[in-house]
Amino acid sequence: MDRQLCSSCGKPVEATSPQQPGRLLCADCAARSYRDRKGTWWATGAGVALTAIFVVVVALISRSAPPTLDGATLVVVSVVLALVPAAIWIVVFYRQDSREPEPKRMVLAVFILSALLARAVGIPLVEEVFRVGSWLAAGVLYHILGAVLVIGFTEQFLIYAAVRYSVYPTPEFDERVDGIIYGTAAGLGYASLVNVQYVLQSGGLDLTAGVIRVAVTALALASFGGLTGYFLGRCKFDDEPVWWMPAGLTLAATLNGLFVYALGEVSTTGIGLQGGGYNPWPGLILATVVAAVTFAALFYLIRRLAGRAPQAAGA
Amino acid sequence: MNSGMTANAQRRDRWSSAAVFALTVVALLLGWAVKAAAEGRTSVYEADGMRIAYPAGWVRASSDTPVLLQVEKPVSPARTTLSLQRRPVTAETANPLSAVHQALTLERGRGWTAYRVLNVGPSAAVPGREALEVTFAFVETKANPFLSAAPVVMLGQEYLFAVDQAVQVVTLTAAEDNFGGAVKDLKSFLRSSPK
Repeated sequence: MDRQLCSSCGKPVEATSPQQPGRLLCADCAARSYRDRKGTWWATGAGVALTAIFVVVVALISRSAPPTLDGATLVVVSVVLALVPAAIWIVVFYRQDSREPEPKRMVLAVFILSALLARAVGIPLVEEVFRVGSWLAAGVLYHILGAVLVIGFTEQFLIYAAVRYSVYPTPEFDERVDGIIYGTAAGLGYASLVNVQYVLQSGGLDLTAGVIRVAVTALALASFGGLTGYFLGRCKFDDEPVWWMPAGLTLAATLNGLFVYALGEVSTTGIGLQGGGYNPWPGLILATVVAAVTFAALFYLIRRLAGRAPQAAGA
Repeated sequence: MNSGMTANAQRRDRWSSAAVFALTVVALLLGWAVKAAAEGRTSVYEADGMRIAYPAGWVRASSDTPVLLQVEKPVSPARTTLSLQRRPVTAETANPLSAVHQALTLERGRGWTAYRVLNVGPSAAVPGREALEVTFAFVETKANPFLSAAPVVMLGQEYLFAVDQAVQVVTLTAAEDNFGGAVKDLKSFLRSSPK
């Protein structure tokens, strides 16, 4: 009779091991798949907070001592600033997740794959095929439906694809919380490319409004990518029905689209003698709150699952 | 690669992935329908027994005779405009479409920078209506003078129709980069123009 081996560590799987519906795991690995890694949550919280702080610091510097940048220097500085939110998250994540970090190579691969998908598929589809800029503002209903059906589904599907067709089938994806980690990395990759493209198209960033826009995009896509990743994690380790992942993607795409709509609403102001028309600060507050609430909900869900974990051998 | 997944789980994942893909395709198709609906919205101008539909969100500009209606797309870098004008002709005019075209060319040649007629010919753009189709180019120099941008090359397309003792002229002008996208607005404007 064939001995069945744990798909994660390669040890024989005892007949008495509590089995996962999706994978053949030994008792230790089965217990680990439920693990709630505190480092991940600290890193996530720190990532949200530091991204917001980064924006405030840049805005204060730009207000108190406006730098005189132009031409290529402005573009180079702007590209660097556009990548700062992703860099903050990745650095903080690795510092906090030191006990059992996900392989840097895999996290980076998902980040880059998602960025490539954004450049090759996402941005051309949204901006050139659907040309959302020319009709999204035609009315509230058009704005909401367009943001959900076109922007939300495109972004979340590509974030899903970047995880699903790379790290998901590998043994490295061995915990439910890995879905959130890789989903967040994919969201940051997508956001970074969107931000770099924005910088290159506009020939550089306005240091306050531009940096806020960069941070808002990163916070939003990291959160909704984490949400899509949560559903992927559950999909892999729990006996969820076929509609589970489509339902998860629909939820993430809907929230993503509603965020795009709400961002437009809160950032647009009346035009008056003192100027106006666009105020980016409410958008930053909205994005920070959305990121905090989304990750808090994911934290709660993962903690709840951890409470149901089978005991590891020898525990 | 050791996927580490049971056959059942792999099968379920395949179905789940197919469902996600199908769902995304359906969402994008619905998104396309929303786009078509948003772009197809029209406002209606009614006056003097005339009723004509133009793209919703475009702004009506003030116009003097012989221009009956002029609308502009507000967000285009150099204004995209659609206009309808009515040019009276005498009963003795042998070829009213050609005569009005010549008059327009002379007027624009004097007033518009670098105005050039690119093509003139009969058109069947509107079924059942004999028309003269004209394409032209000029340089937009009259946009916002405070805009720090180079003058824009504009393209135009217009249709001239003979009506009782007059020629009706339906004209589109748009920046070269936006012209392709604006032609469909001209087509729907044409379809609703008074017969």
